[in-house]
Amino acid sequence: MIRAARRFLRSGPAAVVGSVILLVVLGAAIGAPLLAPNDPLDIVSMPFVWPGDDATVPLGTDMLGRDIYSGIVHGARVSLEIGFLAGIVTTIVGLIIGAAAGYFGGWIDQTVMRISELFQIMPSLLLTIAIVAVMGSSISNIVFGIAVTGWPQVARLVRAETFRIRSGDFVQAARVMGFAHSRILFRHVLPNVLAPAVVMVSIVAGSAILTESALAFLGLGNPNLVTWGSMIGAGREVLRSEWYMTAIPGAAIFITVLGLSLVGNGLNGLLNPRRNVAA
Amino acid sequence: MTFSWNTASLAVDASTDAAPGIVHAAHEVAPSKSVLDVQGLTTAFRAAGGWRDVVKGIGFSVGENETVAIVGESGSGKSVTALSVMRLLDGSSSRSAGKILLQGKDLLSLSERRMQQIRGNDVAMIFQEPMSTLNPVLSIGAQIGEALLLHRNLSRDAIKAETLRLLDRVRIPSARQRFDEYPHQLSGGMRQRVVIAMALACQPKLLIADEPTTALDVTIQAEILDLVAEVQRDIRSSVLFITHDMGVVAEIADRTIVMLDGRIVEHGRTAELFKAPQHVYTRRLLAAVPRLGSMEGLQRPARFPTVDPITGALGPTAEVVDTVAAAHPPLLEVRNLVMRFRSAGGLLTKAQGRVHAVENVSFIVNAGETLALVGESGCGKSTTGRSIVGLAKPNAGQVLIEGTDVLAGPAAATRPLRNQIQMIFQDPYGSLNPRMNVGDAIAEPIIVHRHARKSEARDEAVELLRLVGLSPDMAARYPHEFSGGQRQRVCIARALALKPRLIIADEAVSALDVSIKAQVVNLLLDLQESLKTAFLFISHDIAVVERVSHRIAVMYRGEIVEIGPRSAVLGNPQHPYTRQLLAAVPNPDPDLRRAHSLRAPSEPVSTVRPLDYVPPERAYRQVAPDHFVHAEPDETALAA
Repeated sequence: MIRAARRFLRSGPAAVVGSVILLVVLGAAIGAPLLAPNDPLDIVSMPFVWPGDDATVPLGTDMLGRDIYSGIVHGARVSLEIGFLAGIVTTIVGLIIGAAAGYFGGWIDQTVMRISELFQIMPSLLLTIAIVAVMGSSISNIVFGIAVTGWPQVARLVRAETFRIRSGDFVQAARVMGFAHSRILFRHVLPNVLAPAVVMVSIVAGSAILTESALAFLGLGNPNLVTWGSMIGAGREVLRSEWYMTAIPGAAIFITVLGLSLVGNGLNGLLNPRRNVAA
Repeated sequence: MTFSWNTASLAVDASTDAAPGIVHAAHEVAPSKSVLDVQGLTTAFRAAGGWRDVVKGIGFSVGENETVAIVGESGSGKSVTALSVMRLLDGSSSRSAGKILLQGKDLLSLSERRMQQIRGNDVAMIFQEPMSTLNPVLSIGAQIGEALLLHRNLSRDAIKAETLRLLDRVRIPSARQRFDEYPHQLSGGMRQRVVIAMALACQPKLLIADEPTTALDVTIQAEILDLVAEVQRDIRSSVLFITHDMGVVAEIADRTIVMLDGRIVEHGRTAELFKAPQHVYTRRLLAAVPRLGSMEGLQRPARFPTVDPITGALGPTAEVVDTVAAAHPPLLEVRNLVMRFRSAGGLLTKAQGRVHAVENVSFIVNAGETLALVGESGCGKSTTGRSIVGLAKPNAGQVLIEGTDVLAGPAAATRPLRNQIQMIFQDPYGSLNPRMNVGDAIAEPIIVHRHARKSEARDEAVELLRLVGLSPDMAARYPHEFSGGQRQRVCIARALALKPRLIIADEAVSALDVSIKAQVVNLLLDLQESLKTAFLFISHDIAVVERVSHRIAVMYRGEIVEIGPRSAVLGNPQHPYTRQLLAAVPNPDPDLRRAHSLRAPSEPVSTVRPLDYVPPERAYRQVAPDHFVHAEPDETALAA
């Protein structure tokens, strides 16, 4: 485990930068009450204070005089929570469906793939908006909405990998030895598709953060929570004069998603068994 | 010009068990005028933490009209040498030093632009895999024409005429119709002919062939070797032939260079090198090469002779003790096995024909006996093996293990009987789960089927590792930490875990290097002797088959055309196909070189038949006790 971590960090500067970004965001999310004691919904100062003008509100205030720094720090909680929940839920659903389709093939595969196409031809953001609009904007509903639209891409990836592995000699060997399907699937096939699936977690998490932001921007987020998306939404009206109100949360989203993507790349290198041979 | 030996190449690595006193063995002096002259070539690849030398200061030359073979096992640096000469290695991850003189020009000092003019024009290359060498979306005429267009300033009509001439030159029948065909419409041998035609387009001074026949069947291989020899004489070019196959070397090369671990260990005239190999590695290599006919006079399978690692002296050929125990019912009996697939039928298109992959195949395997199933790709030998273990479901026929039909009845009921038969696959890299350590992999079937406790199963796995010649502490390692030969040993240990009485070895040694192949074959024979295991040995390599088998069944177009004791089938072949197969096997003895014949290429016969095809009734003619042959040769039988 420690060796793996060391190899991951040595795999290149990108992975290191990515993990540092994620650790900072994670630290902000966990330590939010300590790092930013102001409630992000409280009015703490004059409105429209530019960043750097007032030391008590380092990143300035919005049009209601709410602390942007607090918003960013507390918003990290929501973003990470939704990102990781959606990433993990989507990946698990996609993993199970994709592995079953790829391993059993035939009509199971055909059915699953036609259903996944049904979801893929729908604009995913619109579908998520519809789900959240109907079911309410709690975090679990948002995660559900993202998972419903996100699972097909994971399932397709896993299915393709499973196909490749299923025809491999070691799966044939397991069949010759008379192992049950469940043993072959869980002991021989799944461990070998896990690597790309783990990488998918970070990719889906990145897009989930973007989706949540889009929902919040459109006013479909939870009004009692300050998120990066809702901050951008709020700053939209004064974009021409007080552009920092959108730029700062925008940068937070950009950097976090970048961090996730860099970590995903690093994991891909780490989990690829062929690279392990070389290392 | 003489051989230029870099000092680095003179020092033989102490770890390569050089015989004392024998450093380098140069049998002769190179011809006076050389086309290619390589001096002190060192090629390195970027590896973790620096550069790793793969080719270590080698020097050799290729004279005019001469065929020089570089022979070596995987990792010897032979292919890297070829790619270095062509400068086809990625510049960012590799570097070459030394001199590569092509007709006096140093290729390593040329600009990439100059090099592009030289490739194809002065030096051409033929690769191993003809399907991936050709562009699948261009017709073969267009691809050959492209080579002409780039390097020779010809008009459209002239290009077409020249392309047709080249297709004729490589003996592709009805070239005019083939002109517009695409690579997937051609057989492997035809594709390799197209690749050769492309290489010939500009009449290069030097032709580099990197394992050009390795992916081909043995009869096609013989044709391609003949073609290369003929073409070389014709356009008066030199050939640098990279191969792992000593038989091919003996067949084609004027001079031979033996490479080991990036260095040249021996070079010389092919005839002399084969007759009196100096370096211990060459001796070991030659001892490990299976020779068809080397088993004459022996009744039972025999191990490959061992080579003394210090002196290089050959040990005796150890014949296996008699293990065959015929009984009624026999261990395995296959009766009238039939396996057909629909072909070329899509969702909306009707199937045009049926593949008769296995047609009415019957044979028995006795306890402790090895039956070899030989034939070329697509003859149905693997499908037969796969249906016996249940990986493929036959359309008709019976598979009886100790008299019980395991195809009939519920799978659970026949499981204990089925466990009597295990399988080893061709690819040692693919047949182990990369994420499971070797000890767990071997213990798994013991836990699942024999309900052993985990600790007991682990102990047994360690015992099995010892049995196949691996050390017990390797149990904790993962497959990627093993070499190809070691992995195949692990697969054998795993197959033995259920104490099977028959092991189906599907091309189990085909992917291994010669010396490793000999070791694994010897291991299989040891196991047969100590455990009385029977083998169904599926292989296209008749020279290996001769060594391991008690009986041989020859398959052709899904049917067994000849079956009998090994000495009878090989010594007195009756079916024309068996004869053709035996004649095509390259002999690793330059004195017995086949006369290069200018045969028309043979198209592999297809097993696709029309939907209404009814296979004819077959009768077998008895030649000798236990030796049977198809009474009436097939209607498309070869005119041999």
